[in-house]
Amino acid sequence: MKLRANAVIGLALVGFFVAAALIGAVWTPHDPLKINILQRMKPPGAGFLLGTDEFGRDVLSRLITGARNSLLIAVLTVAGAVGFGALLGLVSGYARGVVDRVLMMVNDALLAFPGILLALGLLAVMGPNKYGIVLALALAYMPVVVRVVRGSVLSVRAREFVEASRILGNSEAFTAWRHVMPNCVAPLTVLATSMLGWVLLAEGSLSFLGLGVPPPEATWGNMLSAARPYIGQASWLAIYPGLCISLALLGVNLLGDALRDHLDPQMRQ
Amino acid sequence: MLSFVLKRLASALPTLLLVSVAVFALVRLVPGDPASLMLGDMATEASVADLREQMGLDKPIAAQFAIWLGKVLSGDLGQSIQFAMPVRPLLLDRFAVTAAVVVSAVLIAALLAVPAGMLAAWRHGSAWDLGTVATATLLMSVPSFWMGLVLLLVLGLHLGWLPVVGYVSIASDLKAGLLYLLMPVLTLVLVESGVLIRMARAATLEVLRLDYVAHARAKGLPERLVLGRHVLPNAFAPTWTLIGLVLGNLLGGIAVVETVFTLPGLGRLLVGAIFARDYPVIQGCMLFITFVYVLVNLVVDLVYPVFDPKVIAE
Amino acid sequence: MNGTTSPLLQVQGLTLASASATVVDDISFDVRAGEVLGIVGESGSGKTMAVRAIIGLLPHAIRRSAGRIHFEGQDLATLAPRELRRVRGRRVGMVFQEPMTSLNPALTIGRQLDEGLEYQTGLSAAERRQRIVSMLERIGLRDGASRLAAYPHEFSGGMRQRIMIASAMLMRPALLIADEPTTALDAVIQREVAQLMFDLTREQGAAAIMISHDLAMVAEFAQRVVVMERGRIVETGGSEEILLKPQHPYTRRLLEALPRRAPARALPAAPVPVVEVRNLVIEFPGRGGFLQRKRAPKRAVHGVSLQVMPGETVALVGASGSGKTTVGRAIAGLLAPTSGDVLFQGQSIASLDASARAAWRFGCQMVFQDPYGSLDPRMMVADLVGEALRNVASLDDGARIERVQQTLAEVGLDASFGRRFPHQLSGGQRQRVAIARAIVRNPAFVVADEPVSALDMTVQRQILLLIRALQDKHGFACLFVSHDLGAVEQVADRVLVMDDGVVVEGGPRDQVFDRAQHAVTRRLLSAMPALQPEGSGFRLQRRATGIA
Repeated sequence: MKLRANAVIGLALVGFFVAAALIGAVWTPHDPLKINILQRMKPPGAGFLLGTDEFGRDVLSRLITGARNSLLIAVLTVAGAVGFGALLGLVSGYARGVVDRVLMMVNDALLAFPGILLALGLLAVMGPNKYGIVLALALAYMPVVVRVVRGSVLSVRAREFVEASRILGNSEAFTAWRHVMPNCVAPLTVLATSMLGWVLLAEGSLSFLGLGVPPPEATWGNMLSAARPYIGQASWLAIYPGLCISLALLGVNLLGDALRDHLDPQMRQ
Repeated sequence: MLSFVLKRLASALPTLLLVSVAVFALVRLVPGDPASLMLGDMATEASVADLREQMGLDKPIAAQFAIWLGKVLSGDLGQSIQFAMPVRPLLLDRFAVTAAVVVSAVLIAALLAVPAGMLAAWRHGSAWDLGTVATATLLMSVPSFWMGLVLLLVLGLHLGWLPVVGYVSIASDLKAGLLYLLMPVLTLVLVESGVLIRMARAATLEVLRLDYVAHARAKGLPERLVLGRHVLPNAFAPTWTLIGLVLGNLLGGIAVVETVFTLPGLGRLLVGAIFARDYPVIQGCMLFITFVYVLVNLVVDLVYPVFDPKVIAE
Repeated sequence: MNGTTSPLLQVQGLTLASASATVVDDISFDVRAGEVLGIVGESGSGKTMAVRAIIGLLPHAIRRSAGRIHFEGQDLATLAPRELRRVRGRRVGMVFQEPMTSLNPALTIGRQLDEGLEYQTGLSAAERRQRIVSMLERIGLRDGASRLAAYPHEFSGGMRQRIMIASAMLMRPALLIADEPTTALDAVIQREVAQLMFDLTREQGAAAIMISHDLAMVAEFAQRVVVMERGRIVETGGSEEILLKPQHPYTRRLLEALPRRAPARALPAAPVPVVEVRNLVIEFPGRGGFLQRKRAPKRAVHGVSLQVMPGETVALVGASGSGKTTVGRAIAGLLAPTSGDVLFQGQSIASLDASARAAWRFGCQMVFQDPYGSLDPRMMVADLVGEALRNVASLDDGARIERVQQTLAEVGLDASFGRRFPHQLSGGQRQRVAIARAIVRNPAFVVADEPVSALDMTVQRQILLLIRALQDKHGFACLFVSHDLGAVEQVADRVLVMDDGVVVEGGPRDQVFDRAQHAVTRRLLSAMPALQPEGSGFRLQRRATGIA
């Protein structure tokens, strides 16, 4: 398999953060939650590689825990959105008729909420909590999956090899399982990868606004939010979390590109 | 042509209706008495009882929705708990700020990104192309709130060129107002250009491969005519749709940029209302922003045939 | 021909290469003023790239590494872009293959016809319009003036191609290059469009280069022919000469692929037809409702009756839209008829119980037109064919694998093909897999829906011979749906001609081909080149161009 620059860099970046998250589950240089007033606002240097924040907590350790939180939320959200969305999309694409029309109308209404607005609304109702954000974002992004999977199902069903399966005497269920679904996986994979990026960004935004993971738990978004008042004096507090989000997003985007390039010639068939 | 317009308008209506249902249901999901939620903790018993009657809380839920919808359509969005003023003028006021930022950003981003993407496609494989793609991918990966913070740090604090907090409306003072708008707009332009450049480039590459471009060249037409008349309009169609989506995305997430630059916009209003449990404002913002987005998409769809006449025939 | 005047176009030693391969290898040919040169070759021969190089329209990845292109006193290969642009359109015109994609969908045809004239000539707007309208009338578009504001998608494929030709000839070039101009069109339209193109070039005294994979069509319209294989010219000569006395083995193979009538065969009499259709009517429901464009219900098939006896091949022919494909699909059970009956081995397929249904599915199989779409891209060849044996209780795994291998060998694919995926196979190989899948269960009846239309000429012949051989061996009956009478001639025992949803003529193959009664049949036949076998080649009979 020819490895492209996209895939290599993307994989490296994403791999780096995943590794950080996994390591962070068992070890961090310092305790990310330990408050140490004597050491507050120290710039990057010995002992605290990336400095300390306004409570004296080690920035590096918080970044590592933040990686774990952000990535976990992103993965759970995408899994939920893709899992349920694919199911609904499949049902809609197969059922057709009234069921399809109704499902699509509701889906379009949900899609009508721009960006993270729906998630904002849901969080307003739920109140900030770590798993509420997964639910809110999953619900906000599910409609896109439904739309894409339904489209995929409809177009694959019209292909001749599906008719061929019917002519062989296979039942509808077998044809759906063996022929239709596997051919819908490719576009879904590309979507899931893009969605990972969107959710990372959305979670960061929501946490930045104070509606995501509540403090003192660290996520890159809420670290940036906390850094705002001190941006003049302790600029490193604002630089590093944002850099992490950007690099993670870059990694996901590059991987998504590489995946799309790899699958495209096959999808075009 | 007319049937296309009517069809599109007609399909927007059930969407708007269902959106209203969703917003209505959302607020009703909050535990507690709906009337006292709308009036806040400081309300008197009497006013709560009054509102209960007005909202028809003793009637079946469908009737309550009908009453609510009636009020919304006639412009009555209730009273803000925080500001003790009607919600609608509050929304419109704040929207003016948000709209100024979002529209200018999208316009400038499109004007810069689309030619850049098309140029990259035309010079496919060159250093310019690779550089453009790399830049676009990088820009696309930077979250708007971080971009804003970095710009604030550099342009505002370190260099002192632009104001860091506050806001002056351009209606009252053009020059000062523009200074306050510059950084937020710049932030959004940088962040959204990435995705627009990539789409413009991809669409142009697709079109350049097509036979009718070769055909135009075979007629001996100069490259500028080929690009301008044959490539540009056809390549622009998918980018046009994307512009609508970008606008929507910005509308949904504008709160972060407004927070960074402390702009009195709609996004910040919504977030503030969430913290303050100002349900009339939450409700009003969600309805308003979504309706605007549906309208934007409608306009995008209705203009689309200009770039792709085939759509009308279908 | 006067040999002292220099040729209009002279290509010398042209070599084109991409980063990984040589596309065109040291070719030389010339075109004299007013003559038609045909370039024949199959896919991968490099013929398209060769002519594109003449006016410098090569894709990004392919470059000219050697050679000269002399035209009207200049070497086009080394001309500056600005000079080359003056040659394009005005001196050398080009017509492309795909009418769907070669006209810009977002511009009116008036604009597209006008722009070349506007840029290249000094004519006024009124003069240009005058010329365009009269050219439109010439190509058969009545009331040209009012159609100038129409968009390409409003025209049929054949008309779009005529518009393309008009667009090129408007500028009165000295040389017209036509790259497979009729390949994407229906058989009858193909001939009409080609005829129009050459009438126009003759009227204007222009020379033409016609590229095609269809040797017979090229021989009919061109004076000289160049045969290309894999980037090289293998043979050049007068068109009739090449048909009559081919020298190079590849040319001979191309000739072998020309349709020739298969010998008539005697079939054992049988009491009951395998498949019978009685008064089949198929109507597609109209669309309507609130704000949806009202579409009237469409009757695709108006009452068709036919019989297929065991072991015979019945061909169902007609132009597109005649309803033949619909009938084929109804017989295969993919469509439910509106009224009428389809009987399989005596039983109506509409009223089968579960076990009879399974038996029907066993006995009745189908081969589709598109070799690219009828195989699941995610499955290996062995699994694709093996899937057909899924429900056969009497076969265990081992027996199944063996049966699959056997069948693959029968269609000419060795054991190594079993592990390959469709995208690793050529069009012909994919169609062989499709055929293997259809016959592995030993069906009594196979519907073949345009099984070779999408394939290269030489491959077409191989597949048709394969179908015939398999039929002789296994004895299945076949309904062969096609618009291509050349293919039909090679496999059919009986022929039914359809037009507009009804069968207009039917009978034994030789009778229909030699003594056609109905106007539609005669029209279809006139689209076939009149080839008389002579010695080891063919002689072309120039046919009268009047269409019945």
